[in-house]
Amino acid sequence: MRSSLFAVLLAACQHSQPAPEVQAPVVSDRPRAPITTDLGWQIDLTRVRLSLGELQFTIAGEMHASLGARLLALVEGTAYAHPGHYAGGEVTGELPGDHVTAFDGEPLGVARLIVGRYRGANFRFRRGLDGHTAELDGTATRTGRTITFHALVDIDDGAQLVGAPFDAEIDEPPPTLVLRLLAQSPTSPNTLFDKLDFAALDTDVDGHIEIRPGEDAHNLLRRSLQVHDHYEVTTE
Amino acid sequence: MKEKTLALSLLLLAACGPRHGTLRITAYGEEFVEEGIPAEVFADGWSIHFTRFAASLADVSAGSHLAFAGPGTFDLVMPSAGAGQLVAEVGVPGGSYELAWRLVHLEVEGSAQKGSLSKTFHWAFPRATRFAGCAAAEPVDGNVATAQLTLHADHLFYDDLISEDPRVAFDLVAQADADDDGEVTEAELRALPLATQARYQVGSTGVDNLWDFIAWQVSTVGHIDGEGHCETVDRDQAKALSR
Repeated sequence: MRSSLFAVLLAACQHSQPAPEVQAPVVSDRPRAPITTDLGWQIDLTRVRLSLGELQFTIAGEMHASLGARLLALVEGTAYAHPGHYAGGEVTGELPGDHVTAFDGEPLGVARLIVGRYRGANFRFRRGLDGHTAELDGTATRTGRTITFHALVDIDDGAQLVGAPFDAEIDEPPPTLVLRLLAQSPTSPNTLFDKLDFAALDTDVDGHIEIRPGEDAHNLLRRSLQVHDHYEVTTE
Repeated sequence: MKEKTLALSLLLLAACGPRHGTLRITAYGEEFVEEGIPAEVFADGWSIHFTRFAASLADVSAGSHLAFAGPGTFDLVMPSAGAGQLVAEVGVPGGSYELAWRLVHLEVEGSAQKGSLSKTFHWAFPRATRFAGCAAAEPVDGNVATAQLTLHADHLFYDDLISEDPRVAFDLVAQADADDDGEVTEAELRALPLATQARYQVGSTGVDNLWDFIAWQVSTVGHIDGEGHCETVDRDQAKALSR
């Protein structure tokens, strides 16, 4: 449905002014270097899975601004003044469909984008992992103590992440777009695992913790996974 | 001769277009403000009764026509039988209009009930949120058309900034009453961190306490003609002002 609607947008934009479209492959990846949290835990994230959908690419609207916004509002019922609908740029590119990604370089599909200068990316969280949104495995190490962890994270289905940095000029030939998960924010000291005291969570001192929905630790992780600082789209 | 024909055609075209009229702009908080938000709306059984819902509006415009410079304060709890409070009437050329307006201050006072529990609140939000792109439903065509700036009070009690389906809830607000004196104050709301809450997700907004959460929601209350949508602009400025 959304693809066909996006086609309407493209057609409308093309009608008003030539707006060439490119088809760019999208892959996902993540840096592998360990990161250090605010509590001094060094995190080595060994495995990630994230359920997401409807990857959108946004442009600082000029040529397509008003028309694009209105068309999308018409076809998607965009409610700018409601939570989850922030007017953070005009959507002029998208990769439809739902995906479960491990951020290990695997392809997500082929996105369609109108040629132009891009500024941001949005996507929606899904519950495609047996009802969960994310699964994270890794180790946390501090002062010689290492704790393994396995976390299942639930985020409201359809909750939108808005404004992941995507600073690129898109033109022919289309580049490969890389959606990255960043455990360490590139713009602040924040990490995905801040405020998590792994030692306190390891109550039976067996060196392993499970983080599950309903727990404070889960809620901390759930909150940080929804911050756009922890994602970016780059080109290769 | 050709010029005369062209001029006549233009005149006829003009005569066939929408006619000059009056745009009557009102502000309305719906039944939720005038009569209260019933328990059925809340996910956790609370209900709300407002005794004051004073919206200070400014720079209300319809297209390029400034209708009300303001600021002026409209207490939307005053019973209006659905008509809302009159903000301005302005003569405008015929056509359809998009409205823009600023909500420069919102003061809400009231009480919440749940069984034998009762909490009061009296909050003031010095917001500078601008709502734009509010497409009025009724066109002007020789008539007095009404455009209603609608404020959705239930948004103040939404429990999520980014969910597609936020709930209306008050439990956490009630829990913020740390001194248990029955009044939930700004200071108590500011002292309630959200980091470990399952609900009250904030996305990338940076909001980290319940006061800022509610203050952020103030920037979502603006609508047009009931459920019509506006674009919220200057939201970051509004957030900064709330601190």
